Amino acid sequence: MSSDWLSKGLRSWRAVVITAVTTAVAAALVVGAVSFPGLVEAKKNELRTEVPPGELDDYYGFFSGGHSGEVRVLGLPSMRLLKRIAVFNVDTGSGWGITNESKAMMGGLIVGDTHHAHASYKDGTYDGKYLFVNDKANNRLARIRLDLMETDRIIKIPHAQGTHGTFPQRYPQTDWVVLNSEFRTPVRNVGKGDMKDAATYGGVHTIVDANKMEVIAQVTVPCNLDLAATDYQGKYSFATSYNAEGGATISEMLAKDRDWLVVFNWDAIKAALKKGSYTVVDGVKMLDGKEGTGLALYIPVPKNPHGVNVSPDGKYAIASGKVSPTASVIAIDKLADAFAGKIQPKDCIVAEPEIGLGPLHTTYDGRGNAYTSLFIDSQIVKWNIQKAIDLYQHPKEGETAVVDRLDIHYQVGHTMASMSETKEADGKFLVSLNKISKDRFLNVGPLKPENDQLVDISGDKMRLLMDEPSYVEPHDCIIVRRDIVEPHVLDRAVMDEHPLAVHKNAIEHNGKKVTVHLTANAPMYGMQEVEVNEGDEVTFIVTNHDEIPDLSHGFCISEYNVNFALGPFQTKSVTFTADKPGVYWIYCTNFCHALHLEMRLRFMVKAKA
Amino acid sequence: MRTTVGSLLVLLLGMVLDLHPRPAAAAEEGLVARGKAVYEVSCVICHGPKGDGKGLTGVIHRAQAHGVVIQLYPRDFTAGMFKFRTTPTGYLPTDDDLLHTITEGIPRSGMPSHQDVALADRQAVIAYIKTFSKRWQEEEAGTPVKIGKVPTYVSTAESVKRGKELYKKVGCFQCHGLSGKGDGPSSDTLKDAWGDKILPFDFTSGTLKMGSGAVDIYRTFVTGLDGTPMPSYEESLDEQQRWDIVSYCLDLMQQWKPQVVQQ
Repeated sequence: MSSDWLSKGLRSWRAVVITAVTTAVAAALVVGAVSFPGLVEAKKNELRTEVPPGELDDYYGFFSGGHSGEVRVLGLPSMRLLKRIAVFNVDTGSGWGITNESKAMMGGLIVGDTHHAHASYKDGTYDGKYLFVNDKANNRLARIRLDLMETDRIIKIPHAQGTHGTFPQRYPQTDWVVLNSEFRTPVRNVGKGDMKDAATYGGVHTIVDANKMEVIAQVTVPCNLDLAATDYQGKYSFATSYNAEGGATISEMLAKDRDWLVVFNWDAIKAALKKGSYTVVDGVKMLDGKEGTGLALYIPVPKNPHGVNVSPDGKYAIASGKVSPTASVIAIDKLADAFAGKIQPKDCIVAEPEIGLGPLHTTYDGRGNAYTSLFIDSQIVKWNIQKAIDLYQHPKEGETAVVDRLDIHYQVGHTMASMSETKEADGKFLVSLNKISKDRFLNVGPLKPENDQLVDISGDKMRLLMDEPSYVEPHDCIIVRRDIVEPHVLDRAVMDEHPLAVHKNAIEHNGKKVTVHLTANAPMYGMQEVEVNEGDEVTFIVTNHDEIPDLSHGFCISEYNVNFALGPFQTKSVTFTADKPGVYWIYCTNFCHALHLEMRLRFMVKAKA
Repeated sequence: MRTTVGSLLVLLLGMVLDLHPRPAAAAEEGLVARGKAVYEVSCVICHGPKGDGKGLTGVIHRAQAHGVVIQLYPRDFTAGMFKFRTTPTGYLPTDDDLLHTITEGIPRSGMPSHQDVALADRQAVIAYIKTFSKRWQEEEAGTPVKIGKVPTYVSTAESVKRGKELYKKVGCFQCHGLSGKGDGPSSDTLKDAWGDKILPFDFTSGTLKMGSGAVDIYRTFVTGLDGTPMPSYEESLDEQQRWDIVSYCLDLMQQWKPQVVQQ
């Protein structure tokens, strides 16, 4: 059999045209998908601030999506938005909130408020496996698999409201994730007793098993708990508390000049759990963490603190009071003595430099400098930690730890430097996540974008590089080196990981339940028609059998409010009642082939007699 | 009288010989015509009006390995050569083989299932497909290879171990790679009977086109995939050796199934 006559065989002109189109589409799909690792990476020690077309970024940025309920993936330094990962929100593009798989995780909720996305760790740096993100609105924790960049698990955090600060264990690896409840409530919040008596309320520090995604225990405290951090030794977690007063109104919450940085002692928590020193409430082990129990240490820090961040060398936790112009530097190596009662909690503070108005969050360059966001001043302030400590011990007139200031636009909340939440902080880039953009972009009406600004921190002076508008409302982000994440990311799912992956097209009738097992391969679904009866409960399970990267299919049922997208080898399913009789076209919504438009099948619903 | 009787017999015989084929041929013609009608509704878009796999769809399937994109075309019926059969290598498939492929489709290819097409129509289209190649007039379809029950030792540790040895010794790894990823030393050089580049199966990638069960894999070892570099091992290996390699293939596929995430 010669290959010549076949390959050189005459084709009709239509075939030639179609083939040319097909080939072009194939080429387009493929070119977009093939990456050439190493080709465009920055030269060693050279800070690349621009990414020309066709080249790839040096960092992944994982941004929370605020009350959009999602998580976003950006490339840095280009600040290009690469992906929106639906988590707590409905996303009709991917089908999140529509498919059975996502609905099972979402439990009927469609509102989410993501604030802090942090990745899993091994030995103090990211391992590239998971991302954890909180839902402050409906009090949940989600885990995102970084190999697929899709949400993997969602769990409910009991006894908590305002589930805010979220941080994974950094050492030796992420076995625990801790979450803080920012809003104090009655622990059993069931509307009984005197609900107005805020003295009966409490906050909880929740410990979650990162692998099983189960709540291990909750530590109750009298105060509220805001931002979270963990140390680099697997010994402590931290929480700021801006309501040491236990107040219910803003005046009450601002009464004291000092609130707390609460430190949780993990060895003591483990011992208490082992000893059985807990009560079980609604099936959850609850430990009492009030002062004197040895589980938590209450370090007085200036007023109404918000952020707490641990320096990459593991030595200091730095918290800032929103209405105090200072940052408090807590020496982590003093905590053991404080827990043992050898020193007072306040003795753990080794510096309190005055840095500016409205200090919130601190990030690091790995060269001994801290960068704190100043909400009121609209600045990032760079200051030297050791100098602040020295000046705290030996104040010198006219000397300051502040090294540099950069105006940002405007009202910065979080700020994060590249790799800053790991022991590998590299001091190259910093993102200033500004709450207000005002006049920085074309006017798009009353509800304006936020402004995430990219800053070069590789030199002595900070340098503003770029404005990036973002939709409501990234609070926080982490910036992760490409080489940590990229090797884990898959071009195609592992087909049989989904227990219902379709290998054989079939329609199963079981009384009024109809299950359709369907494959998708460009440009065809595995069947051309499906017939059911009005009132049947129909489940479609669809598997994309195309294996080349980026050849995704969509699955939309006309008039039936169903759509989802499937990457190569992915399976998704949907169940609904066939309540509209008639012929409805199911069609592919994700452009897949020159004959993409023809990729459809008839869904025929036979009317009741 | 004898002559008369003889003549009558000859005449009768002639009539029988002459008349008998007529309804059969007509039935066959009817079947082929019906098959053509079905083909032109359901098959022509890929397999083309001449059955040569040059339908309007063009490339039906693209696979990728090691950064190289490989284009696969719909089956060319004019060659009368079929990969997925129950018959020994070199033999035509049975009607049941063709019916199976038409009915179930081929996963991971553009060949969809046709269970929504009436059985009689699927059978008719088989008759029509056979008109594209002379092989169907010149040769008989093969007899399905008999495959007994799956031996109890399949998938045991010992069998996997023996299979792994054979996988190396027989040379499976040359194409399929030591880790089963389809990246063996010759994997980049393979071509099919049409001269098109072809990829060896990547055991870590998902389902096999004709099923991923033990029997399905064993069947491939005794039938080969005609028109591709995958030969039959009916002669060169004994039954136990074939089942041992089945064990190893299943092991390769299993290894790459990730831990199912607890839901």
